[in-house]
Amino acid sequence: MDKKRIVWLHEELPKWESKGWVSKEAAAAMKVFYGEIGPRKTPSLMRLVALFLGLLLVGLGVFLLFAGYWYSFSPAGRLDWCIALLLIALIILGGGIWKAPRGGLLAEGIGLFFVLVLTMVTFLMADTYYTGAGIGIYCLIIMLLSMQAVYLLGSQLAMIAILGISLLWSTSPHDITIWGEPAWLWVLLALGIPFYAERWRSRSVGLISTLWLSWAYVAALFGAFFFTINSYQLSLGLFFVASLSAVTFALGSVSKEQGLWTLPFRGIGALGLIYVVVDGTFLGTWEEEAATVPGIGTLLLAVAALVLVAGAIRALWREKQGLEILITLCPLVVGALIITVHMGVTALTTSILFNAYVVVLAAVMFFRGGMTNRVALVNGCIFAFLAMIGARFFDPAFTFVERGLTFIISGLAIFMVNLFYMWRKHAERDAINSSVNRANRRLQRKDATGNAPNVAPTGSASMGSTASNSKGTVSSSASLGATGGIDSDGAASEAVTSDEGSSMSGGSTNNTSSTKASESAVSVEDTTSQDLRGTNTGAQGTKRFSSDTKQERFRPWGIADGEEDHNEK
Amino acid sequence: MKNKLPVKWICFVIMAILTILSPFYIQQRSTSLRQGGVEYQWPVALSRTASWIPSDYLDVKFLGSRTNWQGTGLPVVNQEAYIWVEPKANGILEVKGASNEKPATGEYILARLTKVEKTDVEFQILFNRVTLDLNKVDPQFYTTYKGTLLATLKIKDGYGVVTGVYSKGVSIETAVPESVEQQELDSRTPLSQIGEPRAVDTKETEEREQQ
Repeated sequence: MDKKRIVWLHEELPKWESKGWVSKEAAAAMKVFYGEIGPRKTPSLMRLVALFLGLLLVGLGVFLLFAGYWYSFSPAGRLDWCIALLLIALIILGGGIWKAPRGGLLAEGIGLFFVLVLTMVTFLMADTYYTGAGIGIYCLIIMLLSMQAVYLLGSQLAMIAILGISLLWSTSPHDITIWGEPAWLWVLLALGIPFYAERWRSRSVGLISTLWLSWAYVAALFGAFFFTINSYQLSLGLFFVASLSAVTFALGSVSKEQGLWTLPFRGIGALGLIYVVVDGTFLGTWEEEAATVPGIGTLLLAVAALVLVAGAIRALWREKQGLEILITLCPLVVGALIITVHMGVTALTTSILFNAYVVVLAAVMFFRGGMTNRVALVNGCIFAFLAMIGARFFDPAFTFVERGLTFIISGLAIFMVNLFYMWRKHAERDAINSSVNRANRRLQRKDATGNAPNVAPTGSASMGSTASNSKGTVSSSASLGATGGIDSDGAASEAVTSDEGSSMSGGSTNNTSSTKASESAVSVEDTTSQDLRGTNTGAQGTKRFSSDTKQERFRPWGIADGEEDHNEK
Repeated sequence: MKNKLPVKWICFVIMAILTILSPFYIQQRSTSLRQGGVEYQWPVALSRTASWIPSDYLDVKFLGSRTNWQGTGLPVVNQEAYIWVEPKANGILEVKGASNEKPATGEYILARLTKVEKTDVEFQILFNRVTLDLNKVDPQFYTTYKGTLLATLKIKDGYGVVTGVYSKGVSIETAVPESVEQQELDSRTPLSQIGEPRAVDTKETEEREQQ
């Protein structure tokens, strides 16, 4: 059982004993039943965060010590320091390869440490022997050397760090004309694929790490893609981004049944598509496309992208994912619009057509999401609209007045929708409350005739007696965080409620036999559906403590076993 | 298992050797420029970027970093380009143009385009640092100085390194800033005439005539 609940139980039991709700034997039986707090197999998140913070502070302290005096060392002296640091990192790495289990926590830590030290040393050397070269050459050195450590230790954290460096490289100014950086980046990302495949095969061992690795890998692939487009100044940039995003999204959608690790494919694919939505709504994008003539290489790449998109649509067709097909059609729409732009259609018309496609897509997502209760689709619709509206903020094609008025109207519309929902919610609440009041009045009428006790609505987290009837029966509500039942022999049986975390309230104790009740066995029953059938007490997961050792069902308003209050139903 | 162990350690040894060599490779890139590069001069201005870590270098802004585009295709901002340069008789480099193609003959420097205006481009030379003992340099040189400063740089295969900065032929580590009046006069000197003996002579003659 959850550690927190056991701790809570051990804190509460003495109180219950003192109040006479449970006997010492029953309390002991409960303690035995819920058992001891077992040791954790892995360190808790809080401990990891604390460890990380401690390491961070130590690292920053060491950094400050060096930073104050670093430039007072001669370049050769700095080189010596760097070599010393690398030697320490290599010795630790060697120890890790020798002793640490591959892929274990220690191996992960050592791998990450090595990558961090190598990165720090490389950039310190680059600073010392400054030539103005871009960071690409240094990223290449770090990634090439660290990749071996990743394979030797099986360190996913080191791999994620490497992918982070590749992302840094992708977003930095670069030296395309000299040594073809994007090609190197693609080679390095390809070198990591066997490791990713290995992790993917054994994903049941550490799903969370594989998930993070997936995020990092997909992000790095996207970064490399943007890097390539920017470096070679390819035309049809929007089409390529749309193709990559759509194919990635389709890949994640087709394989989403295989587990959480596919989430990054859908997530980053969707982010890429949002980028396409934003970029596609600008007039400038289409004007630029109209001004450039794609070369043969670009056209060949475009054909390859089209083949990939077609493959993705086919896979989605097989899985009968209609909406995803509509989303994956995005690059085809973009491609068609680019063709129309080259045929002489104005950028404004093209932009309007693209916006129309996005609006239709968002509407379909909204209705589909609403009908199938898929929050992601509704969110996707909202993000698509937000992207379209957000893009207008910076759109120079519209005047400040036009943009300002559009934003004010959009904001007011959101307020109106919100007000409408608040009004509807309020009306709904009023209807329920009036229904509760009617039911309560009915019960009070029954109580007046002496057939049933008065039942007042109880809060789910309240504790204490709420009402007593003429027979002296006390209705009390108590908040309990645990479920389960213990029979008279002290043997425990678990009664699972529908909502494990819900509080339990209500229950009745005969005040004339409360002392005896504490000495006798305690019966705990889930009366959520049975005991409060047809009532509006507001109790959730009600537990009843009864002095009756036969576990006789208690009907607060005197309904016999097997009977139902059909009027209340 | 018997085969796996040596392979693992062979990989580790190779990686360790390469890792230890990597700082030397970075060092060698710089020293080869200093030792094998051809030395030229360029008029510059100095600045010190806000830094909370005590540093040993100043940022160098190369004056006259604007030229016409001679490459194929339209230039774009952030594009890397070859700056075609030609040394004058006094050793100061003169910019002849910028292109995305390496010149068949002559000297060139790799730079990044920072601004594009029709056929004119502005560029930033990448090796924009000079290492100095900042305790010896008068802060005026990198704060308010308007006088002429000449940087010496060594260039090889488009890459380069700034080896020093001089005021009237004296390294700024030992030089004293000129008077404000003299700095004002220097600042009026056209870039093309910096370092030209005749330009200085002409100015002095004009001043004498005015007096």
